[in-house]
Amino acid sequence: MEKDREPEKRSILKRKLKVINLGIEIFADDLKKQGVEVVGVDWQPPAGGDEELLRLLEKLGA
Amino acid sequence: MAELGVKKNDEVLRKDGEILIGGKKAVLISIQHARLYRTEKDFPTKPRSISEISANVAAVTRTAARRGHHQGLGSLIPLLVPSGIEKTKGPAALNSFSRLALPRVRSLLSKIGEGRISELGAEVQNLAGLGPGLTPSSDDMLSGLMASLVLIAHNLKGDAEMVRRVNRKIALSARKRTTMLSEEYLSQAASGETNEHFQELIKKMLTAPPNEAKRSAELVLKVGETSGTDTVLGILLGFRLSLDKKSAVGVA
Amino acid sequence: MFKIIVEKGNYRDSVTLMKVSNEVSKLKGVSQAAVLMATPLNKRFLADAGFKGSEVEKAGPDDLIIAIEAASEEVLESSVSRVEEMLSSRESVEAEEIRPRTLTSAVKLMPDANLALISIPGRFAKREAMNALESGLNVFLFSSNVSREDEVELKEAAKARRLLVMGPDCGTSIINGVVLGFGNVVRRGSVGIVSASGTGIQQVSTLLDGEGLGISHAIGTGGNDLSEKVGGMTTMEGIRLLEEDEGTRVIVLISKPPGPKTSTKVLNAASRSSKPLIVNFLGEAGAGSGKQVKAVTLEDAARMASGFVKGKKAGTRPFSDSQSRVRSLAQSESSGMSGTQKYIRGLYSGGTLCYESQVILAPLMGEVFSNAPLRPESRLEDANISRGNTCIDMGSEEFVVGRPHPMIDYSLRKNRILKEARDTETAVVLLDVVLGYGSNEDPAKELGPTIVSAKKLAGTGGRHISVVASIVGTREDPQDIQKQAKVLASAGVVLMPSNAQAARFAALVASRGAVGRKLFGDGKR
Repeated sequence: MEKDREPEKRSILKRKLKVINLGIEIFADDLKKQGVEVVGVDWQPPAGGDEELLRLLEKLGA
Repeated sequence: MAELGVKKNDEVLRKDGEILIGGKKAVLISIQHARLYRTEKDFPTKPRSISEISANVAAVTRTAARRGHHQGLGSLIPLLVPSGIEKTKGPAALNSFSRLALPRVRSLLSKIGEGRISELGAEVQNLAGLGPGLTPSSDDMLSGLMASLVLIAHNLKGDAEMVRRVNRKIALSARKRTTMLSEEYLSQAASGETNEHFQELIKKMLTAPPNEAKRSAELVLKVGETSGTDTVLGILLGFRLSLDKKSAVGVA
Repeated sequence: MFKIIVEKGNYRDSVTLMKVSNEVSKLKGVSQAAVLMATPLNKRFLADAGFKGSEVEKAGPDDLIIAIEAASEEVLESSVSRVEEMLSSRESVEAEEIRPRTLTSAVKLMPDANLALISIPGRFAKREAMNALESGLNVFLFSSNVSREDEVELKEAAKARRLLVMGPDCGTSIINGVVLGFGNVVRRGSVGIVSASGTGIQQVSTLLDGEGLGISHAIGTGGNDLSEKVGGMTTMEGIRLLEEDEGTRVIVLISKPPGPKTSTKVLNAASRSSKPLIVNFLGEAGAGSGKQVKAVTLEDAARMASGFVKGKKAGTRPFSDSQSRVRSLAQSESSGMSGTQKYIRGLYSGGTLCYESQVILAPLMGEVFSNAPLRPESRLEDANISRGNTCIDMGSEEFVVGRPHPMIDYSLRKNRILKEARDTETAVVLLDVVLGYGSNEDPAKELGPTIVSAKKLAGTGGRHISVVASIVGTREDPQDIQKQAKVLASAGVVLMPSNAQAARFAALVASRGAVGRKLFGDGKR
């Protein structure tokens, strides 16, 4: 995991939005219609959605 | 794997639900405490009528023709599955695999339809292992075909025994004709085992309204890419054979 | 010239194989390329294509064959090295449309990303949001069902990194002219909004747009930001950002009334702002102090903001239209009503609009029941059964589990409209029609026929049902607002310019004009 990249000095209000979308695709589509660069993530629940396994993964820092 | 100390050509031992890799500096993978996914053969919802199911087949066929990938056998879908689009679509540009496979698939279908099990071996040997992909296109088609025959016969009270014999013959005939992985998938598909997306699609085609079947097809085509399309072709062929009263695997 | 590469026991997934095949086939000078597992049939296929030789024959079904035919030795060589590059585990294979599976790989694809829009199920959302913050991204968190503790953790992590967390349960933001989530296409201008309510942003921004004004930024904070536990962290950061923002001249703060502690904290922090702050804690009246003024309704907030920007005093009339016109319209709506028809049934897709209506209706009509009531005593026993004057938030949990939101899917609302039409006590059906990104493509098409049926239904029972609505939208929204208005009007809907006015008009109709006194005061005109 890339932790704490160089903190961008300017606030988000001053910058051109570049978005990563996790979840409902319609949101990404609507952003593209507005001319915004979006990368859509094919998000799947980690550990196949299994709660216990997920907790284990978190413990491992995965 | 390299980080775990596993090198190329290290020995792999398989036993029960475990795999041991690399001898002394071993990596042990065990599924003993894993939750296994198993295809549920009994669909909880009542199947729809034959005409409704046919409508679903047509809907899925049109979706697959539109959205499917055409690198494998996908372009054969409108040619092999009656759905009304044959009249509107011009002759599709078939890739070389499709062109080769088309008469062979037709031949396979008619032999299954006539219940000529002993002749299936030659047909399958003309198809298994053909096409691109880690699991070659034709194998994906055969998997879809076999799995759907099982699930349809099971839920529409078809001739399950005939399906069993057909599938057994198909899977056995593919031995040594294709990759190890594909052989494994084919033998699983012969008993109706398939991944959850395909199972979901078959279930929807049997029990749900057309828009749900369509959505399920869209998902499968998106997630599976070429392999998904080839499997869907197989599923559609399975439905075609099963819904034909006169076929040996037809559900009356 | 032919070249054959055999990779023994090579297991590449089909997608990789196809990418290699496609890319090599497209190389200049390559006449054909095939990437196939060396099964008997594929080997025969290759032989027919001209790829023969002992290496092909010796290859087994689990071996991979890459076969290339090219015009020259050079082309062959370069294509072979390209293949080797692609197959070496070090390279991440490029393709026209890669869909990364995780946030991390997405960041690799777009290293200058600055915002993550997260709408995955609640129980996974916090983890991903935290990942996003750690990767330096601001977060728009649409997901709900995130615990307060997790929300606090996220917002503290954001604060430490000078990042913004909009949410959880945030439906709308407008950042730098870009709509995130559900929102309308509004002009860029000098009114900034910080809001715990998405539909609140939508109502205020569209009203301002209607007057020719615009929004600098609208920062959604999520529905729980002003709870005592979270303490308004995003709200305060939002106000601070708008304070700093040169394009913002006025700041509007929207929320349901927060607890007293948080309220004091936020307003104190905001009092240091040099810009006027309009505080719309829905339903809370008050004089405000200094640069802080209080607006009771969303419409008031928009009017006050407009007043500040235009340098004029904000209007306070109950209706945009003249009193005489409104009264006569109300009269014609209530003529044909039977004596049993007494009540208003508000069916809302926007929770805040539902709340605002209750704020307006309660003093006029008496108790208003709801599944999201102003006071606990007014909670409906069963959200599916109206009682007296009722306003339903159809976007709340009980209606939305396993279904799309009512702004997208009108089926539940349509059924409810017909149900209310059958109820002999219903006088007015009150609706919000929300346009913009994320909303249904053609709400009027959905509602029109149902409303016609509803009126017919009531008609056969000797009752005239009045349907009153407001459209939350602008001319630039993807749905054609003029067409929407036309279709609804021809179905018999009375359209009001704002949700607040729609509620007031509904009261005028249902009371047969009796509340006119409260609305217009004693004087005429």
